[in-house]
Amino acid sequence: MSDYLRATGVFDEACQKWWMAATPRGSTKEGETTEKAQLLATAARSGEALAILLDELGVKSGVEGLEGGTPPLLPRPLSAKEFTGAMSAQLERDIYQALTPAVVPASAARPALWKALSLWWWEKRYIPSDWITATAGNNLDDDDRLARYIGWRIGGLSHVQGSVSVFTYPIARAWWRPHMANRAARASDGKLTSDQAHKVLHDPAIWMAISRVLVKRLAALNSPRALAAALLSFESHPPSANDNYSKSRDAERRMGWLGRLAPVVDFSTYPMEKLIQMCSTGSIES
Amino acid sequence: MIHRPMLRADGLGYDFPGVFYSNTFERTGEGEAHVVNILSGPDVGPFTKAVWDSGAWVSEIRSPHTLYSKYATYRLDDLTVNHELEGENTDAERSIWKYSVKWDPAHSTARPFLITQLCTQGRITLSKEMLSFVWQDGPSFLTVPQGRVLARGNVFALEEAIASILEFMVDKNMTRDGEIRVAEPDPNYHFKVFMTKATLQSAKRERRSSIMIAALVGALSRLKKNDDPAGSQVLGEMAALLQKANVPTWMDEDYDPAQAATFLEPFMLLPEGMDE
Repeated sequence: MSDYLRATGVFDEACQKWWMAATPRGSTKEGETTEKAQLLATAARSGEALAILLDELGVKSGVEGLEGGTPPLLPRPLSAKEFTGAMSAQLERDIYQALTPAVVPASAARPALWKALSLWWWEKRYIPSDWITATAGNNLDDDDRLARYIGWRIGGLSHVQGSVSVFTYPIARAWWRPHMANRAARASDGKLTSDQAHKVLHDPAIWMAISRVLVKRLAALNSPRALAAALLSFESHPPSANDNYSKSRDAERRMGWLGRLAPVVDFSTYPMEKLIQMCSTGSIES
Repeated sequence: MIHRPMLRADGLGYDFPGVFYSNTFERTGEGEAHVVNILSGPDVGPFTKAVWDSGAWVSEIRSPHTLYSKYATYRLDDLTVNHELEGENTDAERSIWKYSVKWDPAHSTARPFLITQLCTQGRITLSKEMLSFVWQDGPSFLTVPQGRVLARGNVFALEEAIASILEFMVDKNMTRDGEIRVAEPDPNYHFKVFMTKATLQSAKRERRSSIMIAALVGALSRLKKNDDPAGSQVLGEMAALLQKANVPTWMDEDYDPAQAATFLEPFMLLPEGMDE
């Protein structure tokens, strides 16, 4: 494994400190904008956000935030829309392949890695230089909102979102989804292909549920067989609702049923059909 | 879902009154450890016989932060069982199973968890003679289907953070902010670090604060030459790290607690331009 992509040490700490100071948790009221947020927002409106961030984080280049050699590049330059989230499943797989094996789960779980890589790709024009003005919309009107928007878009604000932040940053998400799809497919007893699993994970509502639930509340479902069962269940019986939020809640509820089994069954040997049945109906035949 | 009896290492169950289960682990290197499962008690013979053909020790290495989960499964009949007497002047034996687990550090964060269970890989039949009174209704035996947990071990953090020897606490008698006091360690080498409420809040805001490093210096200065590294997992790991880097440990003549502490948790050097 390339140690340089662990993004540990000085940059990690400095990056975290700077974003915490610029966008403190809970500060969204008018007049509570920090000086750092004002500085970044002003620079962003004039297209100087990258220079300001590099200067504020004390590095001349995003690549300096990482230890070791040169980090990997994206498979191709992204459009502003792609960078801020509108990625096809194919593009996600291409990104995953381009970044793997340089990026490994232990480094991919660190927001600082994605911040450093974003700065690097931004410098190299793999992220369009005008992405902020092209996509920020109403956020451009408010310094605090704009600073948060930039933070969310270049690796997430872990002090606000917690460990989920790396699952909401689009490029990190593009790495995690194929990674999880591969793991689930390998553990599915041949019932699920990697592409099928990725297609289910690519659904925004299901991804919202999975990123919220797996890390923080249902770690037992880290088991790739349990994840495969959930994906197979969602594929055959999609969570029902009219909007993404309700659909996500339904997916969460069904994974919760699966979680009820965790204390009494061994996910590695329990019959897959029963796991799928539990996730689909909330009950199993004894 | 029909419940089945479960043996628990935490002592919070009474399904098998005549069998006791305990589990532990020993780190053997980076990304590997030995898991040790011990069954004892008067009914351990019949219990082991009942689960022998279809039982397996299943250890899971889980790192929620990276969604990592890796299983190591060993069928009972594939492992060597060691028997030893439970104590002096007794005929009671205990059975010990030991096996190794490996995980990929690149797939986990610093503190993966080890979760160990005895599971059924096929259907097994348990005589109710070894079960407690709550299971006595109906036939004289109970079947347990495939994939069920029969024994649940204690969960361990495989790599305890060095900072975990410190426990930050508010001391209401302390009045000066920014001042700390480190108490003598408890038998497990955990040190209570006392401070004012404001100091504690400040310490919590930073993941690796100067307060934590100062507390570590204080804690390491409390260690004495005869404190055995085998006394705790963290103590052993600290001694190994120091020895590997040729930094004197508390067992050496030229031991310097400040040097040892700042080797284990170095001060963060801010790059140019981060002077604030």
